[in-house]
Amino acid sequence: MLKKITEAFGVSGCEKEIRDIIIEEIKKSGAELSIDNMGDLVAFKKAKKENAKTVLLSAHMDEVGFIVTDITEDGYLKFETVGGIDSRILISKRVKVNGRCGVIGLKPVHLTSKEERKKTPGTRELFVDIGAKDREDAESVVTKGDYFGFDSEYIEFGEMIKAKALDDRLGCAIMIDILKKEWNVNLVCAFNVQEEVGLRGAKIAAKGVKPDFALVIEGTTCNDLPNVPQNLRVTKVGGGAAISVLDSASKADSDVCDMLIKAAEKRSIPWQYKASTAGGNDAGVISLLDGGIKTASISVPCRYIHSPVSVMHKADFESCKGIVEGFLEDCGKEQTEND
Amino acid sequence: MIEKITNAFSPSGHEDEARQILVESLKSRFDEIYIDNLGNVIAKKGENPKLLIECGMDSPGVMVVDSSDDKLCFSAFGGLKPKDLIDKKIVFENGFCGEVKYDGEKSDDAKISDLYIELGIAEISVGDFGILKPEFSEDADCYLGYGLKVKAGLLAVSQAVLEADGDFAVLFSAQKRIGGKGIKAFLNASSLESAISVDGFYDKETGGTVIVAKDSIAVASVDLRKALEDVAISQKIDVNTAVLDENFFGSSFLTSGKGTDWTAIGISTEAQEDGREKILKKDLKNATKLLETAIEKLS
Repeated sequence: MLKKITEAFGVSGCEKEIRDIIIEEIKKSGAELSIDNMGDLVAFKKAKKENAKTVLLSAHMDEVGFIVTDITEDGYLKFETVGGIDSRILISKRVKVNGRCGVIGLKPVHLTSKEERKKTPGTRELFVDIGAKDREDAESVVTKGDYFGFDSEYIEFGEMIKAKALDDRLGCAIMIDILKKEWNVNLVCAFNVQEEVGLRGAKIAAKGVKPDFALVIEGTTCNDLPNVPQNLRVTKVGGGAAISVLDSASKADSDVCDMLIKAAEKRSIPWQYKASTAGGNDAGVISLLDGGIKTASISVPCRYIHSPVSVMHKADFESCKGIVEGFLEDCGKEQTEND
Repeated sequence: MIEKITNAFSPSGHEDEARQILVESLKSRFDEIYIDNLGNVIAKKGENPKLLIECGMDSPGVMVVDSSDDKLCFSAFGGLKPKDLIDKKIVFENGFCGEVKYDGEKSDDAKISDLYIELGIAEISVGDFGILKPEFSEDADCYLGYGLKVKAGLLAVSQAVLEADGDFAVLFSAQKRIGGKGIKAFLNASSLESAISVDGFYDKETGGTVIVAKDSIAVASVDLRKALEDVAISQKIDVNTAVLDENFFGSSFLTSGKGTDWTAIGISTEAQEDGREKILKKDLKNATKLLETAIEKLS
């Protein structure tokens, strides 16, 4: 399933393709599905017992990508990024534009001066070649304002997975699996839109749910690279799911963090703290809704995040899924014990 | 009380100590006190009060990101810069206190990631929070301490609301120093008519206690500001009206519910060369008296 959903298109604001795939995956789960005006997909699965706790799980469907700003006389596409993409990673990457192959091009090394080679071209200096012979030909495929995304195949190598959009299709995949099981909690799974452009969808999807707890399931930064000192690595691939304490968008609720850690340790599942205050995710808006919601984030470390070659460890994915499932089990048991 | 609150360990999101002190102090004077999911303390007098008094109860601080090699490395939050931390003492919840070191030559070039604390045998882990050791002191005219500015509002409000009569609510907001999170969460579920924030500010030009006409983003409600000015005149309280460069989160109040009148009381805080902050006792007294009288007139 990860292959299918990471290869699907879903740049922020244009999530229909990925949403349809998720609907297909969960339509037999017994969950009640709804789509709001922004495009968030919310699945509600009632607990089989009364007075159960309500838990909101949240992951975003959208991915970083591009929007066409102009088409040149020669049929090249000019573009801007949608969401945070470092322009240094763009040159020579494959993209898919309305189903057609494209490449982000640059003039050949033979014709480039030493000075030019020292500088990284900005996004506005780059262009996409979709093989069109001129503007008219290009316009038969694409128009200004169209979105497009990276074209990157899902590949497993050793214990690792390389794909685009691991952030946050991995969260979607975990929620899809969870929805296929039965739980002793009222489960609300929000597949959000537009996280990458300002945490927009979650604000609508989670409003009014008023859960006892909310968990944001994410892909997060991992900087365990050569020559990086320990205090700047943030997370370690293979070290287990990362539990956030504080980032630029939210302070995780201490009780929910403790519950996650207990769920992990009780089941001997490896975990790590996200050792940085940088970055942010939908927890930033969910935690403030309806007078405040006890919210925390659990993430899978992803190297080269927001690129077409994001890399994660299979065991970290399983760790994240195992801890979230353990958390739901514990919430259900706690309620049963209280009954 | 002032020393107790100033020395309380209450980094953003871990305000338990400040909460305990406040609840203990307020419980006999208010009809209802509760703590919400963000950790805000809300105290109410009367039924359905429409006036809210707000102040923050958290401090900026550091979060440990690495504790290997006998060194603590950290990220900072709430606006702390390297220069605020170098050679200063950081205290952690378990009482461990260490001095921040920087091995570079020019402290102006320092990044937070260059700083460290020697750990020794202390048990501090990744994810633990620390704050500047307050080192509170006072003399005849002033209070002094590290991180005192963010406690200025709390000091004034915790005194004024004890004595004030009327129907009003108080929000001791959590996580104010990391983007006004407690304020925003509270306002997402509230409907108010008017709100007065109280906080410290740096402003050498104005000084003293001020009524805020505009913070760094939002213009205060004119009628509410004028009502405070009238109180000051009638009570002969020495205050100015000021436009401040700091964010008091006025915008969040003004746009909450169906729109909320908002202004603020600012308490001048002066940074000392050694990094401590100074508040004049007369300024705190004026702010407290202004607030107490305003509550009685406006509630």
